Amino acid sequence: MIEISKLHKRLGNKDVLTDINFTVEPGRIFGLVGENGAGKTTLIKCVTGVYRPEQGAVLIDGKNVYDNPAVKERIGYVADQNRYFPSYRIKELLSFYALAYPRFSSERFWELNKIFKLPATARVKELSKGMQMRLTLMLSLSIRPDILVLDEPTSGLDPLAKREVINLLLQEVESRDVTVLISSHHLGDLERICDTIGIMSQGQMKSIHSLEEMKLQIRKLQAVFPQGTPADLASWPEVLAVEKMGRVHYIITKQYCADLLAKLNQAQPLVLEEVPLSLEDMFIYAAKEGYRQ
Amino acid sequence: MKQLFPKAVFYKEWKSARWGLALFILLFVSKLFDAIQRLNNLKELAQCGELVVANSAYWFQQLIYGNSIFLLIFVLTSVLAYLLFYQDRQEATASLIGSLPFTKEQAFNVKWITGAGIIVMAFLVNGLLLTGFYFANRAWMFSTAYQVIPTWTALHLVFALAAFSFMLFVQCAMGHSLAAAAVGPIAGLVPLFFFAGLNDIVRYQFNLSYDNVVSNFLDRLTGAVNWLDLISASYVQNTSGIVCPVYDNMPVRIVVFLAITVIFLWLGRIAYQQNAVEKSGELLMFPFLEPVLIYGFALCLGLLLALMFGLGYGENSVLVMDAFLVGGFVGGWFLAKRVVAYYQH
Repeated sequence: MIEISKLHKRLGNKDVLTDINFTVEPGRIFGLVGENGAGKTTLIKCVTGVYRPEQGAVLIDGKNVYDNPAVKERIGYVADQNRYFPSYRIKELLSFYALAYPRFSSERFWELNKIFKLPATARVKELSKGMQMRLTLMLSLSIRPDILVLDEPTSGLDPLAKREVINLLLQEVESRDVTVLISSHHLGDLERICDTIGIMSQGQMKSIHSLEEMKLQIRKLQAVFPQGTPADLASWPEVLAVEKMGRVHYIITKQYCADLLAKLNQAQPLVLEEVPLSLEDMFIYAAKEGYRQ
Repeated sequence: MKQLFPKAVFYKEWKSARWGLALFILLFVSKLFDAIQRLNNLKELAQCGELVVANSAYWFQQLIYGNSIFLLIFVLTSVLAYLLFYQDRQEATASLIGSLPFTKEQAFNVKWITGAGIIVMAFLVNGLLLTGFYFANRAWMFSTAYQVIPTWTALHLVFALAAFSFMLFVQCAMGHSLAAAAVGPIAGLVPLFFFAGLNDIVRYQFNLSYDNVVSNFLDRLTGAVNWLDLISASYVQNTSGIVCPVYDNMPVRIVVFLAITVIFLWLGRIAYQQNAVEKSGELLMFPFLEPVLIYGFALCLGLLLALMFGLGYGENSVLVMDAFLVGGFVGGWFLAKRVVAYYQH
């Protein structure tokens, strides 16, 4: 289990993370979304023990991560950029990982390589960005982690490889109860796999919702009000945002409920119906409006 | 042992620093090549009947003790420390290293052990080669005892370990490995240059004689910080009137170098444990070192310019010297501030 409480992190003169609190239960997948510079990568680096938090705690099964090898050897970390020693051959990286991680399995690596097909004698610097990402994923899965932390794992991957990665993650969670923390700008991918979504903005966790709950609460309604828009519609507590295109109002809810529908029906709309809303749309509205749970 | 020195870290550090061993051995072998060349000269002289054995009785000892290699050791140990740190200081790789299951203490221990191991191996190889040469040419060694080789090796080995610990400490205190590799050897000589330069400046500024109290004090201070003097041989004349280099006070020299090693090993370890990954690539790891670097550089540049152009070219004019001292200080201050700011994230 990942537990983060009152986490603060400064980089230079900037507070990059402020009062972050959340928990990821074992066997769950937690998705992190947020605009560039929201603090996702910094948060991930705190979770993997790369950064020392200024305040607060990052605990894995109740133990601090920073400078704690016993905890770190249970974490698989896929970073958003190439981190390996560029002059190493893949075979050498395998030797290094086998020495570093007690649970590292070469068999698992070669099994995964049947899918990803990397040349064993190639040097890291000779691999393309996508191939380096595959290598990172394969190594991180081969250590048989209890916790998987992934920062933009599908960036640089072609659609087929991306699908393989998503399937592998789901398999890991299903077969080994792995806890996953994943950040991605590909919200469609997160929508497919995450149990919970955390929306970050300006170093703060703006909202945490289970995806199911989010889909229930955040909805998009289209309505036409022939007798005029209800007063203060945008400031209703159930409403996240209102957009108008011609006569049509698009109402994004943050607490979809029967009361809201009743209130809207009082305005005698000509049309009142729900339209599909993707996670990407939800994220965009939530980020724009500072949506808070 | 596994807890103190994890195998994976050894694997990584050895792969990074193994070229340092090759470099060390190659450069030390130059001493052997010198010896071969000198021996050939002696043999040629003997063939011509011009060899005076009394004059060449200590040729091997003079060759081994005579040519100081402190600058070479300074540069090589700095290169070795750089090889052990350059991956740690690249932002992306630093993140990987930070996420690996090792403590900072383990990482630092392995860095030192790997570097020290390479130095020991290099001296061992060099010592063995010189030993082979000595016994293969025993008849040409005349009055030089074999003891010369282990003595020289032991003294230079402890000196190299002290220098390496110092360079490692500089790497731990700085976030930019290449800058640290340049600063290390210079920083090791700064106290010596500073007090020697200050002595000259003060003497000319206030028109003091060489035996003045202040000048004497600065002289003593210069001598105290001149740790490189500890690997220089002193010359004695034997009964036949031949000048021969010897190392006196060997135990004291060795104890001093071991003390320097322990002090910088301890300081380096403390500094490395406080290293923050996010500072990788910045010039300095610790903000409190900024004024030390900025004012230290400004002072040294002021002194250097005053000594070079004030005393040398200004016909010892106090006014010219002061102008260069102040100008160098101000220029150095601005330059150092700009450099520190440039490397800040």
